[in-house]
Amino acid sequence: MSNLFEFSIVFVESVSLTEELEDKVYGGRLADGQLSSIDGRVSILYEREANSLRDAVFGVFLDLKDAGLASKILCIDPSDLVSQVQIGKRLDRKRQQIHQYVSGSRGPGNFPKPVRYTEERKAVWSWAAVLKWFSANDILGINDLQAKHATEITMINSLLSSIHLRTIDSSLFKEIDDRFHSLVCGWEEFSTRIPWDLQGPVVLNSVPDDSEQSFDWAVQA
Amino acid sequence: MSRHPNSHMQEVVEYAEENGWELRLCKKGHAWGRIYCPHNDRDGCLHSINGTPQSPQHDAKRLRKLIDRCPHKDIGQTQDKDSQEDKDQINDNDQPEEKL
Repeated sequence: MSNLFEFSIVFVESVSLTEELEDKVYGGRLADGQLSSIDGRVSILYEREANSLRDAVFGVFLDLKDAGLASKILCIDPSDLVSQVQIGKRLDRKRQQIHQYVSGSRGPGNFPKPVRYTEERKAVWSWAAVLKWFSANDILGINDLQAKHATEITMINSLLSSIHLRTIDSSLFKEIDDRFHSLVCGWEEFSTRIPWDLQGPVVLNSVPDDSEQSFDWAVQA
Repeated sequence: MSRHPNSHMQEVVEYAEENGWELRLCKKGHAWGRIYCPHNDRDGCLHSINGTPQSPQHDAKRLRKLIDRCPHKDIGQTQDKDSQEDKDQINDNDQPEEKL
């Protein structure tokens, strides 16, 4: 069954909203997107029909590749880390209501713990974990599929992030990656929980260009 | 003043202008124009407008949603709300269980 999925492709900092970019986007298969720049960061908002969210996202990736823009993808929005205000905005609820769920004065309690605190002690949560909690407790009409979609986007962003980190300093990345695999993956606590296949579906094809922070990638079938 | 060839798109451009956005027309290419949010002293929001949208009614609706979602709208008010949220969280999290 085909569904409509909304997400944004966010580009690396070197991309500007120029006439050339507008022609690439509006002159081909990417034309169903809304090209925008917010605080200088360029993105394209899509609402595409597909059998799954990942099908929709990878469909756009392939169109971006054909337009010569794949190497400029930074991440997909909506991203995973959210504040209370952002949770309220995404769920179209008042901040106070979200605060009540967080504090336990509303709902069944046990709201997910923040994944980290900023230096100003402002808490941020995992959007996927928040949706999973709402779904599990049958609140606000959130369902399992929405939580799963948030996890899918987080996984895709994690792989994109991994590629970008390689482009910043490929030798340092390799050293840390090698040490991580030889050390951490050997720990029984981890190896029994996680099937370690960090090659993933996205592979690096070319020597990274540190100055551009770009990459050349291909999606394996 | 030039009008967008599609009435739905023209309507949303007028809505943007009524809300303080500035329209700058493109002289050539696939884009018809760009709209800039009132907070354009630094970067602000910029939305490019396709001259020949595939689904004009849908694209106009989406653009209107983006105009309404402008993060620079009522920027002072938003900062006040964020400050209140910070205070709430600090009160709630006096003893954070774990800092990552």
